[in-house]
Amino acid sequence: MQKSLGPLLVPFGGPLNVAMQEFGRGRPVLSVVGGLHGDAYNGVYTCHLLIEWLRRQELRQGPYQLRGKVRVLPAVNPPGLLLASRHWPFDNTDLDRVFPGYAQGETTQRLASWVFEQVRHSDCCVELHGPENHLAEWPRVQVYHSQPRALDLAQILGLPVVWVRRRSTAKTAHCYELPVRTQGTLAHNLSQAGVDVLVIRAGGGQAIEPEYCTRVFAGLVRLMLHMGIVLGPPPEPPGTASPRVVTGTAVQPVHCRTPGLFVPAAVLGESLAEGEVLAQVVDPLRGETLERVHTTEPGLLIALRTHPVVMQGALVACLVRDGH
Amino acid sequence: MVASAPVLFERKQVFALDLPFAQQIRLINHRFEPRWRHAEQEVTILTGLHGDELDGGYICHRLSQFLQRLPVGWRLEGAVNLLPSANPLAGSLGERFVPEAGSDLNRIFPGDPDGSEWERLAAAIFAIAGRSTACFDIHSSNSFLEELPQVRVVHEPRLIEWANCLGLDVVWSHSQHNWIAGTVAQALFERGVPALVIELGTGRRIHRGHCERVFQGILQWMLAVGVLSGGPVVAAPNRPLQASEFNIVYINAETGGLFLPRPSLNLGERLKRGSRVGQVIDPLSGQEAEVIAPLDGHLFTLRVHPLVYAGSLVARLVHL
Ligand SMILES: [Zn+2]
Repeated sequence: MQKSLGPLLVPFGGPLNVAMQEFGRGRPVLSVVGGLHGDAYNGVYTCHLLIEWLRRQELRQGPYQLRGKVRVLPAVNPPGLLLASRHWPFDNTDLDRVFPGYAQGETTQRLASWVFEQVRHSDCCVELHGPENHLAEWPRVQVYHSQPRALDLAQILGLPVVWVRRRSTAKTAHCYELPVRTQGTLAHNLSQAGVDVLVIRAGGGQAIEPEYCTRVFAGLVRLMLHMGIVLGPPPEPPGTASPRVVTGTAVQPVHCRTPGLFVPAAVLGESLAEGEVLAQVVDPLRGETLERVHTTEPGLLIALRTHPVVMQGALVACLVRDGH
Repeated sequence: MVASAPVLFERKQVFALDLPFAQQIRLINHRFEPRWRHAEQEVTILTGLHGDELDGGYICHRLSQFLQRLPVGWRLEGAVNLLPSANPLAGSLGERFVPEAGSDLNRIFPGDPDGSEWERLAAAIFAIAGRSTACFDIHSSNSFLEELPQVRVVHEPRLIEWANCLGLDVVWSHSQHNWIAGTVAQALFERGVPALVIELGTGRRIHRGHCERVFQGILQWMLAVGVLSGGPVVAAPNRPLQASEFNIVYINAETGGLFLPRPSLNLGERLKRGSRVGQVIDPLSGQEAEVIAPLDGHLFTLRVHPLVYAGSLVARLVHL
């Protein structure tokens, strides 16, 4: 059922509504949120696949039966998505830093409070995020260490990597878990409210990569089957049989030493040997190769920089160390 | 339409464009016509081609409210179109333009009804402006400068006379070949429609004092040309400074830093040659560079954004 949150009243424009779709009834309840950031189009398209599929099942045009409720918010930041701007365009607010929101507050706080009210009573909430720090991601799901049930659900998705994060992490050497401010994120606030949170990242930003989206969509069907929200056969494509469950200490960040243009030489999901070159940094003004970025340990390439301009010391890739 | 009123007023949607994510652009025209006579004249007042220029929105609001409730004795004799937000998407964001919406909307006139979405928006604006007997295009300055209320026209006697009618601070005439191609004013001039470009204030701000002068100025002009009648005509309106391409003095920063105008410096002030406009300081090196008026003149443009690069405009004078 098509519903909407809002409206937000916009100068010189029509009232702005945030779309929401609901399927089925009762419990358990799964919420799926996409497009919190205006550059995260893969998540929006994954929501499209999910909504289309759920509508077919609801009309009994497919082999699945709905037994619980699914709520999908495909595009939480419509003006950001319209303008390909990660943040809320008018005041450049990061929508994923203002949760749980405030219904009498600023525009973004109002929007956040409406979204939070909709999803806080779910059993599980899946957030479909775009990339961070200009890194494209091999499909992975991130869960909090404090939510063991969420870890089970994460493995059901069948994505290649499950990343278990500790809530407050000190910055340690050789650990990619940056001490980011998580207070205002939807994931943090939902976990505080007792909702199992799965944060999925797959691919880069500002583009739609259908292959990643299809994999995540199939993972969501497996999740719904496991939760008992739908009954039916396992979906295509099949998931990764045994995802790599890692913590921050298993992830090796790779930094470049030299400022310049970053030219990748490896692809996501590739298993790299020790000392293998994964990228070059070049100086196009002088036509010189400044640096060959290589691995120091063998591992699986799970994140790779997409933005070509690098500063000295920029994070350019992440590997999961073999043996973890 | 209100049937009993002496003025026919309609708020019309004249163009709509559906955008992704359930958003929409709607171009709104406040259309006024005299009820009891055929309008021979039609004036279009448009603003907001640049979304960060907001004074014109307020001026259109004042005009619309005034025309909807004409005081006793006043009569509307001609038709009036008010386009308070010509570029609604950029306006809703307060941005000069948004890249997704094409680049500068005021560079693609007369537009093309069969062209891209933004050419169609320009064509919809031009369809209204182009059938007028006169058109005002109201701009604010950018976020860097404050401008005294002024009007820019092609150097032609009738246009200069009309521009003077507004009683603003400066009438700045340009020869026709110096108008920027693709602006609505240039496209209207090519079509033979007299266009007056009003500029005032600062981007992203509303300067009510300046707006009030422009509002009163447009009413005076409407009385003078007969779009309105019955109102009191100001006997001797403010005589604007006459500027052309040959008597504008540009004062630019010679070094990078922070520009500080001289305390008590006011727009409209008459500056003597050699007098101080302000200084550019560099807080890192401690250097201070004086900014000096190279000629006598009336100050009508002053920088409000403190950050300057070598060459940044800090002030403009009309030299008489
Ligand atoms: Zn402008």
